[in-house]
Amino acid sequence: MKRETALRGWVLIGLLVVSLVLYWAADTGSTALQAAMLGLLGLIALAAVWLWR
Amino acid sequence: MNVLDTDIEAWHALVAAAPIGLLLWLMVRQGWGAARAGPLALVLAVVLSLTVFGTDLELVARSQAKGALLSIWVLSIIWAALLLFHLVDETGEIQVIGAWLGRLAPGGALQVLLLAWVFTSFLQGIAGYGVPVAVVAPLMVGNGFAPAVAVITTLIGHSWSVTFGSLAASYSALAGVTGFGGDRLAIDSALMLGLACLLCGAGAVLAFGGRKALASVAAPLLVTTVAMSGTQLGFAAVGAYSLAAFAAGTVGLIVMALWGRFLRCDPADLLGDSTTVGAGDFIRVFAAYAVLIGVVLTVSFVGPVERLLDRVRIELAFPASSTSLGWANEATDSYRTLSPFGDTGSLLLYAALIGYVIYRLIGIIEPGGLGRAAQRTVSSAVSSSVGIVAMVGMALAMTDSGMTFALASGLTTVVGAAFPMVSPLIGVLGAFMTGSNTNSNILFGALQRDTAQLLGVSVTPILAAQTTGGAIGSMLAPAKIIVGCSTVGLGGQEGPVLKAGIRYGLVIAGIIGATTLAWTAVT
Repeated sequence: MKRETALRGWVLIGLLVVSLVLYWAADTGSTALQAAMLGLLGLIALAAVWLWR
Repeated sequence: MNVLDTDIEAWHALVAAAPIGLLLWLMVRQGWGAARAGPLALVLAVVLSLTVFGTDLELVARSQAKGALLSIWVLSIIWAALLLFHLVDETGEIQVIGAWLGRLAPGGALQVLLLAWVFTSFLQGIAGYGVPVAVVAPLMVGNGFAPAVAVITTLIGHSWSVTFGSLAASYSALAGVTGFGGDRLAIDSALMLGLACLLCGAGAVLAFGGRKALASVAAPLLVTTVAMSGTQLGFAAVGAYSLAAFAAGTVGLIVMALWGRFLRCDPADLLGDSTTVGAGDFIRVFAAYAVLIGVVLTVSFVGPVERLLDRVRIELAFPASSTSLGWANEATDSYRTLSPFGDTGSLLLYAALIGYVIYRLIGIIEPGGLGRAAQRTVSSAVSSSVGIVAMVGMALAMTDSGMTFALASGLTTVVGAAFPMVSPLIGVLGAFMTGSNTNSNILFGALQRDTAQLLGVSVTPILAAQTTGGAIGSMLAPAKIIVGCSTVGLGGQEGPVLKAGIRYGLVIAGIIGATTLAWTAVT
């Protein structure tokens, strides 16, 4: 599998996993954790914009 | 809570339109694919929900978790549908299906009616969410249609049947959320969808070959419209909602088959050689799709089987939440229940596996065909999947923060007494945002009901317009467009298809709106 295809696959998995982790982050009530996970989600989203350029 | 009791004002609508505007601009004007435009629109939606719409991090976090659940459900269908298609393609004889169906409908325009309008509606009756497009668009390409035409015509053609399709899930949602269930709403909805049936058939043929093509199939279009919409109306009127679209699609296939008896051509011509395609050839290649129809019907109508497959369920509860502008999301015990063995995606997977066994037994697929089909599925689905996850996340961020509501209520404020005219457009907006007629009805059903009551117009025609708009809007839902494009090798080129979907969707919704305005004026 080409490196770029593998990276794209990881972006997909990352988007789904981080979104699911946000469910538990919300349950903890920790604003710092929620901000960190949302920031990570944003970074993955921007990585997708770069990867599919 | 009355859905109109919030601090959301008309100017919020302009801000709320920004993520959608960005998405459309990037895809339609800049030619970006969904996997690139979707994530950027997601980021903008989250930022606006936090800065303008008064959400907190917890609400946004939960909205994205909801998005992940919905995405997993949608992706399971898409990946399994693609696997099924690639498996049939591995036989190397997929064009036999198109050629055989072509026997029933000589001529391109008539084939568009049969495949993109009637056959997709039949499939929508039993399995929704992109399955009709994912199944039929590649068949049309195999039959000589251009990939873009195949996707556009199937998207337009099937959409009228969405409300009562998938066992009437969208209609049930509308009745449940508004409390207006019963014969009156069912009949009004079926009448409005009957008009949509005609418009979708005509739209599909226009998208294929223009007015000349439409004129050439005017008679079968009208006859089949009467047959399909009349059947749906009859089933809806007697309360058999869940069977209404399936029955309509079945009657449509019968009518088209009878029509074709008088105009039959040699299918070998369609294959471009002297190959003779008999019923046996069709049946053996079509086996996997026949298994799918059988599996879905069995699970849908045999209670013990359905209960057995639904025993394992994944449910995540979400508490109530609200924004500082007063938009409230109700608590739910399970936002999107996942049933790993009973969901539509699983049924498609069963059909693929059983189909593979059948193909091996009759010797039309080489050993390892399943593995090769799976490999092709993975390589073709990753890009579409990223686009879908991002757009579902954007939709949930907008819905849970009240942005989608702001858009609809802003539209309502602007038009005033002409509200019935834009009523279907609100349904279209909901389906575009959420990718689903059902979710559109859940999102906007109460808004439509309350606005109609405030304006003193008849409620059931407005609700009928809402669900018809939701059905029509599903033709331009990005997730569905991505599914269609990925099955015909147009991945990353969704923009032009979206543009065509918007053009036809808005024209059809406009006609439905004018009809609603006239209808509410006389009732």
